Amino acid sequence: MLTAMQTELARSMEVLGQEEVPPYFLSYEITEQESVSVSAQFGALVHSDQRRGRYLDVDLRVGDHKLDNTRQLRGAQSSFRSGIVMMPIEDDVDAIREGIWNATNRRYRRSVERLAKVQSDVEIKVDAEDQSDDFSREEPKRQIGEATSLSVDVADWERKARSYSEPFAAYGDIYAAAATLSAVKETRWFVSSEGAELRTSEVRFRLYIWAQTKAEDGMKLPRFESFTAFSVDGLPSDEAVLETVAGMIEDLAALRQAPLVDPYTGPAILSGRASGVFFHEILGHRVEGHRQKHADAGQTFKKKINERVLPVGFSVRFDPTRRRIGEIDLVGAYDFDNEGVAGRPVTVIEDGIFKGFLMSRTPIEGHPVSNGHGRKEAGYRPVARQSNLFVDVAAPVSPQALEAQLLAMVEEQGKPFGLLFEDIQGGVTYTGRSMPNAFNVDPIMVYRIFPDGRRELVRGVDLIGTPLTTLSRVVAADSEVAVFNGLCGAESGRVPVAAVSPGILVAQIEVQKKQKSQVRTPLLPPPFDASMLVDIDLKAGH
Amino acid sequence: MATAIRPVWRTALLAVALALPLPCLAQESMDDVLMRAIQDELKRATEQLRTEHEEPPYFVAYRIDEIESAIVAASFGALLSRSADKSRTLAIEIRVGDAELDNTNFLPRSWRPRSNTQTTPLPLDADYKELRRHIWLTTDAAYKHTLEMLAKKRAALRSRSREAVPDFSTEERHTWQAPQTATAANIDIEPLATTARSLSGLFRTTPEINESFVSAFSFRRRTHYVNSEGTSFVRNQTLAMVNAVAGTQASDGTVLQDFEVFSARTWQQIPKQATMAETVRTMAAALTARRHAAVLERYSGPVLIQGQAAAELLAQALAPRLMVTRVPVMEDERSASYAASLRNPFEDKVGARVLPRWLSVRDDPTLQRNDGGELLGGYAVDAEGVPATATVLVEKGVLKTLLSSRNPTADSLQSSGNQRGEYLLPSNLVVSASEGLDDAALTARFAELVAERGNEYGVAVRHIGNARLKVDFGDAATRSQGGLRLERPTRAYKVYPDGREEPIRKLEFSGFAESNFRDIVAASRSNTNYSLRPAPAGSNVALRAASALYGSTPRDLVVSLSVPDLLFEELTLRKPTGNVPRPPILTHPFFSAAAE
Repeated sequence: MLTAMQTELARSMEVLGQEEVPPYFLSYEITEQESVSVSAQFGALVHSDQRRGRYLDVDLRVGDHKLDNTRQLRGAQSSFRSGIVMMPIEDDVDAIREGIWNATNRRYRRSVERLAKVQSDVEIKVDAEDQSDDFSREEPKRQIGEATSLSVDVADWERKARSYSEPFAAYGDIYAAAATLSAVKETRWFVSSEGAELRTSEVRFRLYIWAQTKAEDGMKLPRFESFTAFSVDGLPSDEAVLETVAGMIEDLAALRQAPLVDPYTGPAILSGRASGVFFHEILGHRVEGHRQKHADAGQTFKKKINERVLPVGFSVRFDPTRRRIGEIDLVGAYDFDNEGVAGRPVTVIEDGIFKGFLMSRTPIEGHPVSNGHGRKEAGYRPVARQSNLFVDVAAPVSPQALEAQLLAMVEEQGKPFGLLFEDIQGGVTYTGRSMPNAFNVDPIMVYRIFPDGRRELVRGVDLIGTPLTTLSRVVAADSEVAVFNGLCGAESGRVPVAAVSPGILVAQIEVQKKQKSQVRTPLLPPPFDASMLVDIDLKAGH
Repeated sequence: MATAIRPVWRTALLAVALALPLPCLAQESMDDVLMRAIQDELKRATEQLRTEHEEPPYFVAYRIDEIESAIVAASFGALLSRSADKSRTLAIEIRVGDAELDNTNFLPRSWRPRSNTQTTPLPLDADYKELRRHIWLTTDAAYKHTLEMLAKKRAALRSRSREAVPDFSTEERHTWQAPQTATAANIDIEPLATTARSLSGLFRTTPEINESFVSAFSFRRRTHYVNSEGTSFVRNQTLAMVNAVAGTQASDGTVLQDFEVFSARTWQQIPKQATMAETVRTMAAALTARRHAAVLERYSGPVLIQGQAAAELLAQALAPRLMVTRVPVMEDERSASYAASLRNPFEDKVGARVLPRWLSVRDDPTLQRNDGGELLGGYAVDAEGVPATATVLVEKGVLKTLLSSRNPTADSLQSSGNQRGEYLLPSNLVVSASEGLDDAALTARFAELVAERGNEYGVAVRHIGNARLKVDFGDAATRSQGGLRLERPTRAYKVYPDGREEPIRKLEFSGFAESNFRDIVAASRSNTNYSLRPAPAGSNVALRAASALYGSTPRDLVVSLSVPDLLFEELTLRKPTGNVPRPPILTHPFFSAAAE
């Protein structure tokens, strides 16, 4: 594979180098994805699938490091989607070269055209605020990583998926329930005209269980659990999963009965997992370097270097070199990013003071080089993306002490209760200028904590806010560090990321009413009548 | 610009599926389990499904499609992808109101009507209870959606009136049971892979062709259908296809493309490897020859459309006109003019002459083959349970009727049995010439016309492009100027009086309209059969209307055409206009290496 890529790379640089507009940089990345995915709903198999595909990404740059064809046109919506180019899944050098050749021809044509547009854009529009280069200079890396292999007992996985989703089947008011087991082996080959030559290979396993019920008012109430690991042994045992499933069923039943919460501001505790997602949204997406460059971006932290944004004792760093914490693998780990730059730890906030950004090879003012965070999904162009986010706290307190602090604040602020966000599903944030620079986090398990210490599960709220205000209200953290492994979607596609954080206390948060389905619960009862109880071991359920 | 960041912490449940052989419950066959599940839920839906204040459904239909497929793709001798899948999908159609006015034929403001059919993947296991759960929940969602659509439609019609045509046709109750499929074995994907690899490997001997792509697929579909009128059927359909697509650029950058399609009811009936290889080689040779061929600036005069070209021309220009289009009620009145543009102009031509007096066209889903060979568009019952029957569309040049489904129009109150999946489509379109000429006589007639016109040569078109079978060069659209949208001819020749032929590099139809069909002066005695997947929305009015509702057509949905060679007294062809991409600067790595 590397031979085919190197041969075409050398040939392309030589031949195109004689053109009027020669490329100054060319890289090829081939991503091979081999996957197994098995899914069952309510104990019945719905999907079992094995796939393999190889995709090519070409980065061909004309112009020079200062100004090239990749520069964003001002005022224009830029696309980071470069289109999927399928490569042979067989190791046939001639066929691979043919594929690379065609893609290179096309990309060269487009790059030359784009450079002309960029040049005229620069002429016509006002000077850019950010005068940094378009492409950083980096030391090319050469490393052939170990090959990994993917072996899955598909029949056993089908059994597992059926058995994990089966307990939900006893309930007529759980309207969706699925267990999905998946394994993806991703091998990447990367070569560049600067001399980089890399091969990395990684396998990720995931178990995802999802179920949903509906309240009488039509509100959809989801509950999910996800387990991720770099080895199949890293997934939990059947017993542990079934225990989790039993807990999910209890939670769903409780959620159906839970009262709605009205819009509220006041103090709240975010559990470690909730806090991880919270930091990913409000901080993580705003420290992605390329966002400081585009004239239409919010650039929240651009001028905040060396300013205080969090309390003393709070630090935030991203570390793709950490593969594990305790018993849990961190899926945001990698050796090299998608631009062939070695992933390295980056401290974004140190002791409450803002220090810097996550960088791809797209420089911004004051940050001329990459720190190994140029990431993407196959078929996209890389931009700065998050890896493993860590929230470190110098002086954590016990969870009990944190709750005591919450109650003290409740009393101080004269509120009837505080909130505890135990688990959240995900979130959305806007970093542009055309809309309020807000975030919205989607909680699943939220409790009211009353001054007497009583907890009550509630439903129907989203956690909202604006980044700087919300960060300034973070006051304390506990010692219960938790991990959220997930897939983050943004302009360069979906990339695996992790967030590691303790539980945190925020002096003031705001919740708004959740958007709600207006569709009622089913009109007819479940179609499981008494006669079926005989055939199918229908547990006493609904 | 708003940069919306949407971390996908959650993963949507995957829909489509594959499975290994599955355990079955007791002795009950899979067929029986499926039929029992839909029959039982149908009974509940018709007898009990209703809200307190709203009306119950007046029509409910369930359809389960079990699809087994094998698909491979290859380029330059190596596989790009291979996948074998099994899936089971439920489609539910619920109607509320009554046949005169129901929830259908309505396009809400959201433009996401999902039509009146809701689909959902079903478990692959023969698990009656879980099938029922899925059917129950999807029925519930479909019914509620339907009620909402009817309420909106009634509101829209409060201030407007529409043609007094019912929303649903009345059809006889019908049952049909196809035999159990002979083989339970999975489709073997290996022969497909071997074929794709080997055919695409032929392009290692064609140094002037830049890109090539071969795909092969084999499909098996078993459909179970029941509706509340007592109609039910179980139907089998199979299809196998091989597509070979090639593209290159002439020295001036002009994009040149061509393709070949091989299709049959099953993979076993696909032509032998050697036969396909020969055809692909011929195509490649023709494409290579075009690189060096002369450019035709402009031509008006006799044109002989032969073989595949005649079938493709009919498929693109005439077939879309042979189906009714019911214009939906638009929730947003401002879209009414768009809606009206969906109307098929041939609806006003019933009784008018659209072809020469000696040509007739019929659609016949009952045909398996004719003199031209196999016809693959047939079936025993259509997707709405209407029995397949032949429909005479054009008789002695006069348009008699249009193809229809149970969605009536003023001129077609009954279904012609042409609902295919979610689309109204022809099955097997057969054109017959009562005064067909043998090849020699047709050639002579062509020469005579050319001489009459005093032209130096005539043009014969033998192959026309297809929107689905293309290499994307990022070039400009390949549509004709004015008139109907037609793909460019891929094989066309100047034919001189002495029989000498010269290939033409590139040309396109200029201002071709349906009325040109009336000016056909002669046709061959024998027909060419050709099967194709209906073109994507855009070039086909009826499909465009349908695709606003449904998206792309399934891979195993084909239309067959059986068409004689057609001699047009006068057509205009011209050199295509528009941007031409630069020719590649780098030379082909395989052939330049060989040359070194």
